[in-house]
Parts: sequence; structure tokens; C-alpha cells
Amino acid sequence: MIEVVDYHKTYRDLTAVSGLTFEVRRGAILGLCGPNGAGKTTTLRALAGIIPPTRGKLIVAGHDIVADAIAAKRQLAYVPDDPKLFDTLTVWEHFEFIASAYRVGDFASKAAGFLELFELSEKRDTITQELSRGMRQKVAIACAYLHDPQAILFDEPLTGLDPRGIRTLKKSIVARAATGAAIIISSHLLSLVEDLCSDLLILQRGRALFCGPIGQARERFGSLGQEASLEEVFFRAIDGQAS
Amino acid sequence: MHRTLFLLSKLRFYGGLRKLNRSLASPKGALLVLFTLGFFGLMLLPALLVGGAARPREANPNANLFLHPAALFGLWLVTSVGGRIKSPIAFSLAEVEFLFPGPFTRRQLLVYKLLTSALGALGFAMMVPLFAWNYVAVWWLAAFVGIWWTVCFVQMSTILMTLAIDWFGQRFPKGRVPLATALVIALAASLPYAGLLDADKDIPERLAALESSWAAQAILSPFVVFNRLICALTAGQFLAWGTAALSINLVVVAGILQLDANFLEASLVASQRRYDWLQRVKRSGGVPAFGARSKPRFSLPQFPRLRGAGTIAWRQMLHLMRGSGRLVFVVPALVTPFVVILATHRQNDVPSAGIVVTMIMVLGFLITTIMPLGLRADLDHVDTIKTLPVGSGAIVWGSITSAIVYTTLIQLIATAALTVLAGRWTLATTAALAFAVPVNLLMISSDSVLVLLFPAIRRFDPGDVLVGMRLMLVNVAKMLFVVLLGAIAGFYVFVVYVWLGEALLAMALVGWITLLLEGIVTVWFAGLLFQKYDPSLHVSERE
Repeated sequence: MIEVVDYHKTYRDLTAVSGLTFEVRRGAILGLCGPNGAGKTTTLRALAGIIPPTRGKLIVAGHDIVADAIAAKRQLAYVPDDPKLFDTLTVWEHFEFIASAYRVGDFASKAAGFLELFELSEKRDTITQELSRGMRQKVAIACAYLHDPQAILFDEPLTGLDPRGIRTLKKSIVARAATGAAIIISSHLLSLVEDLCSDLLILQRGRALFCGPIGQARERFGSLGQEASLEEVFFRAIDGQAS
Repeated sequence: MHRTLFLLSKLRFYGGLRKLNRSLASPKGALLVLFTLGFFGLMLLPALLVGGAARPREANPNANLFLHPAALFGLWLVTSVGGRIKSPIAFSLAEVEFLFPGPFTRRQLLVYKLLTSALGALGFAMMVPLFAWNYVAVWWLAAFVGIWWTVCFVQMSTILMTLAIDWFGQRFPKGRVPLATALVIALAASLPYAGLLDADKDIPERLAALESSWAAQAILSPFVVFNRLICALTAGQFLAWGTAALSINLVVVAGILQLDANFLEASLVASQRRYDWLQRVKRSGGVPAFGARSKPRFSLPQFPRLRGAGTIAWRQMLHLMRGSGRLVFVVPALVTPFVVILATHRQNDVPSAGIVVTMIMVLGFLITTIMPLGLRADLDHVDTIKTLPVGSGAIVWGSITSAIVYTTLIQLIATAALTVLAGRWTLATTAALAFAVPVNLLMISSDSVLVLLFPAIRRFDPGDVLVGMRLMLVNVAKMLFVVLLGAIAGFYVFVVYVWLGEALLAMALVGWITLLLEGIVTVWFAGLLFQKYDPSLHVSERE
């Protein structure tokens, strides 16, 4: 569903990502981890068609994000770490906008469902400039779900969410994966990755240290085998690389 | 001032220099500085070169309308009413977080803010050639110091007024409304008395009549002092008026220090508001005119999708219409002088056409500069827009078309108002509006091209000393581009003239079509640039 082959991104003298290759199957949830500056957001933004890759192929639902951008984007949703909503539009108008852009026919009932799910019903006609950080995050997530994308990219999705919002989001991610969507979650919160993800990709300085099922990562990096926490796995992977 | 606050001021000053130095190291930054120096040089040189020979023994301090005491009072009024009245002592958020909980007294913080504001006003005083170029030739120092202290007075007296209102409100909780009502009634009653509404007089005569009334003399007295300081011809005048101006500012400072109680909480609110405003400027790419209304009064029906261009246009148009609040004041303020000028030229059709065309052009330039139009408004949302299944061409067309419709609509309303108030609708008016469409297209599309080529021109960081230079450079570049394309259209019109003679309709048609085609090519180029645009090259966040 999501396929990245030999992806490079360089800026003059800086290599942000180098030779990255991985795949996310239908229904799989990939956790993207790594220290600051590892290339996580750069990878997600390239997959979303926001920044062009320097080299390599990025395929979403069978479409190359560079060569066949529109077809790929129809199947894709991206929730950035700090969603920038349109200041002067209301929450509902955001749904209208997204529905028009993605050609979602009867969006009203779905949108109303998302408002209820994320406890935004009272904010339906509020200008998003007036919303709190967490509410803006919820609106961005609801907008991402509106066109039932086959590939969803989350960048630090829990930022600003309240406990109920976190639980709702986690459930919704699992539900989306169950319907066959391929999902990538980039996060520094290893507990979130541990809770939700089936696969793990650890990046450092733009290179993949590990890519595969979480169980395999435990076997490879954890001294306690399958009992090893993801935190232990992560630090062993990173520190092992550093040493 | 507390020595730590002094240290902070010093470090921030060095930081500003460091930033300037870093900007100069890049070709673009160096170009900006060279351009600015050249710009000011071109303005100053003629005045300085002919200054010695043309130095007048006596000059009329009221000759320059920009420096007239009434105009300076207008500046004060606009500054105090136009937002500062609610946020007179605004700190940056970093200052709030580090200084407010720090071991500083309220008064130390106030003195720090007043001093940094006064130093900040120095930057504005650098614009002295723009307002007082004829006095630069007489005495540059007087003009510079005069404008600097005038700006300080405007800033500090606004603070004083706000503190005084707060003090009055605390002492007499029910007294604010009656006092404000009494002031408004007194002001309205004084207008005819001051001769401002006398239709038989022209504008300078009305200003002279206003200045001679006792009420106006009382209000304008401090501004007269600053006006005389700016226009000082001799060292004696400079010293005398300079001492008076300094004394006025010191009295204002003393007043502020007397009334400084409990400004911190109001300042917190003001600081947050200013931060939010700056963020909105950054996000929208223009002056955000919308208020804080959480539930909008109106919406728009969805436009036809048109490969996504309609979707983008709908969003942009909604954004523009909700952001038009402040234009309610700006447009009439801009149209009024043209109404006055047109009323005095009512008998002659030729200048009337010129006046209408000028107004339409000025309005077009102003709207496309201050309003968040075209791609300038959308670059901060580029992540969202680029992930949409909409082609680059459709995004650019949607963004630019809504901007053209919006700008032309305002020009149409203003022209209609102008004709109703002071003239009649002529063929020239219709032609001017018809040509406004392709000219707006050129202005907005060229602005979008510039933004995509140089995204840093949108940056609006507090303390960024290059922001003014960037804005000036962009607007000059935009105008040069439009003039160049206009000249090409003019060439084709000339060819038609040579070929067919004075066939006005054919000439107008060729000119209009050429401008339109040039605009379409510019939009196509903008679409190409948008497709290639890589936001990660222009932001510091790369993870």
C-alpha cells in the first residue's frame, strides 16, 4: 500500500534521508521512531507529496507520488504535528472544503459523526482560530478521515489531545487499520508506538537502523527477548549504532 | 533602569546586528541593503545637493501637509484609536515569560519598555526623507530628531492616555461612558466652529482655519512644537523647539510613571494579543483585518469544483470576505480625497477621467498589497494544499481568480461611490474598470510569482530590521514588472494606432487582450513554480 524505495533527500551540504527503503502493507501500522533530526518528518512530507524527493520512488496505493501525484493524493491523508487550519473558516467549512477537494459526495452525515466522535459538535460553526491546540488537532484528524483514505500518515498525533481524545484517536487508528488502511505514525512517544503499531522503523541521521515487525526488533535489540520494552529496544538500537 | 534589563537591551541590540550581518552575507540580503541605500540615496541626494543653494531664509512650517500639526495629530489619532489604545504597553512573549516573574519592579519594566520603544522609533525616523525631504535640505538633524521625538510622543502619549482612562475608570467606575459621550459631542460641535466643514474654502484654507481656532490650538499645541522642531532653520530655532519638544516628552514620561499602577495584567493581555496578531500576519501574508468573532455572520455556497480551482477559490474568497472588516475604514478614507478633488473639477471631464483612473489604480495597488491575496496567503498552508488531489495550475488559478474578483469588486464599489458623490459615470469610467481586471491579474500573479521565488519576503518577525526593505523591494519589483508588461501592451496599441489611426475601440481591445494574455502567462509560470516549490528549503524545521 505504501512503498518507499531508495528514498534520498538532500539539502546542499546536508543529507536528511539517505537510501531509505520500506513498505507498509494494507492494515499494518508502522511506527516511525528516531531522535530529533533523524528524517522522520522529511519522510512523511515527501510521502504526502509536499516536498519532492531528491532520488527514489515513493508509491501510495500503487501511484507514484511524483509522477502520478493527483491519483496518489486521492488515497492519502496526512496529519502534521502542528496542523495549520484555515483561520477564517469554521470547523464545518473545513469539512466542506475537504469534501469538495476529495470529491466526497454526501459528507454531512460522516462529518457529523466525526464531530460527535471527537467531541466537537458544539464547535461546528466556530472559526478554527478560536479553537484550542487539541481541538485543532482533532479537526485535522477528522478532516483526514473524511475521504476514507487508504494510506494515513500521522506526525506526532497525540500532541495537545486530552485523555479522552487520545483514547478516541487510538481506537480510530486501530479501526482504520482494520478496514485495510496502511498507517504510519511518527512519534517520540514509544508507548504509543508500542500500543498501536505492528511494525517499526527506526531512523537515525537519515538512515534506517531497523525496519520490520516489532517482535523482530525485540529479538534483535532487547536483552529480555519478547519481554523487552520498546524503550529498551530503541535505546539499544540507537546506542549500538552510536558506539 | 535595572542593570539586567540594560544587559538584555544590549544583547538584543547585538543580536539585531548579528541578524543583519547574517542577512548581508547572503546575496539576497546584500542586494536588499544595496537597494535600500540606493533608494534613500536617490531621495536624499537631490535635497542635499541643492540644499545649500536653495536653503530658504524663512520657510513656512505648514507648507508640507505631512508635517502639518493637524496631520501629526491625525497620526496620533490613528495610532491611538487604531489598536494601540487597547495594547499600549505590549511586551514580547519571551519578555513576559522571563521578565514578569523576574526580580524587577513594575517601574523598572516600564522604564525598560519606554526606552526600547524610543529606540525602536529611531527606525521610523530613518524614513525622514519620505516625509520631510524639503526640510532635509534645510537641516537634516532637525528633521531627523523632530520626527524621532514626534513618534516617541505619539507612542508615549497613547500609553499615558490609556493609563489615565484606566485610572479614571477605577476612580469613577460609572464615569467612563458619560465622559466619552461628552468628548464626542464636544468634538462634533467644534467641527463647524473650527471651519473644517466650510465648503467655500480649499483644504489648506480649512486647515489654517482649524489651526486658528482656540480649541484646535489647545489640542494641536504639542504638535505645533514638534512641527516647528522638524522645520527648524537655525541652531537657535532647533535648540528652542528641541527643548520644548523634549520637555513635553519628559512630562508625558512623568505622567506615565505616576499612573503606572497595575499595568502588568493589562500588558499580559496586550502582549498575547500582539503575538496573535503577528502570527495571523505571518499566516495570512497580509494585514489580518478580521476580528475575533468566533461565529461568522455569513458563509458562501460552494463554487463549482472546476478541477479543484473552484474549491480553492471558494476558500480564498471566504477568507477575504471575512477579512474585509478594516477595509470599511480604509476604502472610504482612500476614496474621500478623490471625492474632494473630483468635486473641484466637476466641470471638466478630462481630469475627472484621470482622477477616476488614478483612484482605481491606487485602490488596486493598495488592496493587492495589504490584503492576503493570491499565493501569498496560502504559502503558510502549503502542507495542506499540496496534499490535496488538485493540480498546481488549478490551485494557482483558484487562488488568483478569487483575488481578482475581490479586488475588482472593491474598485467597482469605490468607483460607484465616487460617481454618486462627486461626478457622473462616463465611458472612461467603464473603460477604467474593464482595464482594472487584467491589471489586477498582472499585479496579483506577479506578486504570487515573487512570493514563490523569494518566500522569505513573507517573513514578518518582530525585530527583523530587513522587513521594511523587503516589502519595499517587493512592491517596487512588482510595479516594475507590471509597468514593463504594460509597456509591451502599449507597444501593440501603438502598432494598431499606426496601422488603423485613431480607432479607439480597436486600440483598447488590443491593449486589454495583450494585458490579459500577459497575465495568463504569468499565472501559468506561477503554477509551474508552485509545482516545483519545496517548502522544506524555506523553513528551519527539518527533522
